[in-house]
Amino acid sequence: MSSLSESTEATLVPPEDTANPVTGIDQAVGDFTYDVKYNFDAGTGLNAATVDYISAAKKEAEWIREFRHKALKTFESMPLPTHWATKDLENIDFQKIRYYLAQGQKPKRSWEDVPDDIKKTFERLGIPEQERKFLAGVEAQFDSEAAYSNIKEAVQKQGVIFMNSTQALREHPEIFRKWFGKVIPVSDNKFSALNSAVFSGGSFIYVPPGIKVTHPLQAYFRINAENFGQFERTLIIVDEGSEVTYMEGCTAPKFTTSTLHSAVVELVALKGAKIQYITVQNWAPNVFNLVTKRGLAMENAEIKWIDCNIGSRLTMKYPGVVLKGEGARGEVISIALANDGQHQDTGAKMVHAANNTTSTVISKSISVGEGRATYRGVVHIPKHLKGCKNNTECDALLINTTSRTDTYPAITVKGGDNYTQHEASVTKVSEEQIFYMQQRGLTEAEAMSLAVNGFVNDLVRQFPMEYSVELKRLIDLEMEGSVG
Amino acid sequence: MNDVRITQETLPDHLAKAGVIFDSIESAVLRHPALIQAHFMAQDSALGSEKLTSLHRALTTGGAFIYVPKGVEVNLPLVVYHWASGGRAAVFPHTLVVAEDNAKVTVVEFRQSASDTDTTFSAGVNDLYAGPGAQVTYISGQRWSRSSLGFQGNETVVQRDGRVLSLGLQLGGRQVRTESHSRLQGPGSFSKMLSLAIAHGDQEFDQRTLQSHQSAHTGSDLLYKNALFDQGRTIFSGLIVVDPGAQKTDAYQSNRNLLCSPDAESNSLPGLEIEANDVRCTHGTTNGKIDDEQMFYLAARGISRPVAEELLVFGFFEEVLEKLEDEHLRGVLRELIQSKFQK
Repeated sequence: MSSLSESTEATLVPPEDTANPVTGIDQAVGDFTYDVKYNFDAGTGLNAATVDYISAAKKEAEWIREFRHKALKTFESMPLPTHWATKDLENIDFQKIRYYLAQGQKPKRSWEDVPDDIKKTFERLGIPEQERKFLAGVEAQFDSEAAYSNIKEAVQKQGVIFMNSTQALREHPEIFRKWFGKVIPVSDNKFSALNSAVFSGGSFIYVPPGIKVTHPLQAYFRINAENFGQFERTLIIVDEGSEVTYMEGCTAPKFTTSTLHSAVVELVALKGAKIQYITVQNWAPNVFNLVTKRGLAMENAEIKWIDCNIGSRLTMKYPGVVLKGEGARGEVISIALANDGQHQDTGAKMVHAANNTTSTVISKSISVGEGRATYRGVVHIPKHLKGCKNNTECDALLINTTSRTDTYPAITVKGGDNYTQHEASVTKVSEEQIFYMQQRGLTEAEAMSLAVNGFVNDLVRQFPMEYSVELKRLIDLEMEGSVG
Repeated sequence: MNDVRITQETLPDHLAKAGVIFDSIESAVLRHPALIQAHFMAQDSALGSEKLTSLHRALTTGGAFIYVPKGVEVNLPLVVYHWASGGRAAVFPHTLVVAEDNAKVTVVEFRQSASDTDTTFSAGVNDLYAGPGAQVTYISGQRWSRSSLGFQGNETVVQRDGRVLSLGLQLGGRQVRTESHSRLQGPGSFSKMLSLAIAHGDQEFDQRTLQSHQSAHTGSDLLYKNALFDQGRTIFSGLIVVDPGAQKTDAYQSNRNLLCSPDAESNSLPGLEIEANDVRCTHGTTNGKIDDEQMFYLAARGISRPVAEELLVFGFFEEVLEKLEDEHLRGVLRELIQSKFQK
């Protein structure tokens, strides 16, 4: 471990010049790394001292330190999910991971102040450019802490709080503490416990009653270091009748060793509020992406997860909505693309806890080469609820003979006044379609790309325009060389 | 009286001459050891109840052995009845059906407690083997007493161009678990897996199914329908597995639950594991209640609620029943279903 006051100079590897697409959707664009010297380093491995180091570096209140230690004990006592999950989880060596790397805890308000080495990373990923174009606020996290954070003045004047969670815990403990760990308890699963012990960074958003944030707020997560674990903690609270759209993007360079990303994201939509949470996950193919995401929707509130998983070695992520108030709505839209060496284990959880709540899950996955896509879903409608409805659709597309897909839904309904419907299909691109397009002069690969884009088109259109254009381009890229 | 063959009608002469065997398991072990050895519990069951199937293997008593040689068609159904009598009786019946190349047979089996006050424990297994081009129809109905515990394993193997249709009717028992595993081992093989269950009171039906597509050009079609009343509970956990290389698989899996009471509970876990790309695999599950408008329509015609419910359940079940070709058999099953509503 380095001492807390130590400071060293950064050494830079000059980047090659590349075009900037929208935030890190293109894998190749994220695959670069700069040699950064960190002022704060909790060392390799995990024990009580690691937790103390992180807590001291952040100058945290005592209750947070206690919370972390308790969570560490929970993490140590919980087994890895074994009987249902992939054995690949056993390849994670928790003692070979670096849990906290930062240059400092206070993010800069303007891009000029961001240290050069970090700024170059984000410039190369196109973040400042996007901020100017269409965002209401940006938070850019580099390894453990946010390097840059800014919110447009007009939005701030409305009373909207948007900052990283390290800062929020210090400045707004009264709002933070009220909901922190309430949607996802520490012991929810082994990885939520791990996150609770070593969390750092992530976003905190509070939207006061009656405010509609017209432009999206965006967070960008970047892993730069090797053998690193990123554990951001995001908490979004949207007060009565308010609306917000939040987008997150993630990239990391490709290392030969494995990297761990284990976030906890909690959303709270109070009466009549609307939250739209958009993720474009494009981690490098050595990243274990084990994320717990859940929202709490009160009366007539709406939570919509739009989740797109393209990168990572193994993703296990099942965004959920607890429909706690009457008339609440939950929606998960999921796109997963699994290429060689990738396992996208994604899905959704819909827990109905009040009358007349409705939920929708639409999942589309594409398995290419030896890729494996898995859908897991839970729909729970307990006793004595009335007028609850769920509709689930999962479609899987298999491109090559070695591709694999699995679907494991679990639906529990009690009582006679609720409706659920689940449908899943597994298909390949029909030969007739390919033949038809080839007749009109497209190559087989072009035809395949077009067919795959058609398969996800209705979901891709739900992304903001800037994203949907890039998503289409990326699918073309991923499909290259998959046929013929 | 348990475990004893009470009576058996002899097979018509022409069938016996053609080599058809219809015998008790005990007697067949002595008379046809080679056939029994080749097919008796030849499949590993792996749907969770290994302990119960091991117990069954150790204690098998009672049951039937049916063998249809190459090219022989048995046109009338063969019927097997099992009764368990006395309180706390444990029975381990086994039914083994072997249909050789291009043979055809229909087997109907009924299991019940001799009296409604007896508590029965039953751990039964049946093996269905359809050789190349063979056609096997297997219908079973259980009406154990309402305090009984039942387990039934159903192991099906279908060879090239073979076809198996199995239908299970679940009426009795307090807790009944069924495990059905179809293995499609040759091109052109097809398995239709059907089930109907009515849960009243605190009955629980736990249904596990597996459709294993082990060869290319195979098909399977599963439809499990459950009607739930009172505090009835059903669990459907099914899986379609398509092995690498099992191209052109066409598999379907459907679980439909009709919840007729606010206290009923249905659990549905339909799964897919696909390792071949040129396949068509779909599954669907729905949970719903009786349509208010349909109920109103019947009520407006002076039909009482219980009768209307019964009618609507019949309508719900008809989709499964109509898949049976034999009208007489459909009638027998309808009567059995009706008997459940009369209690």
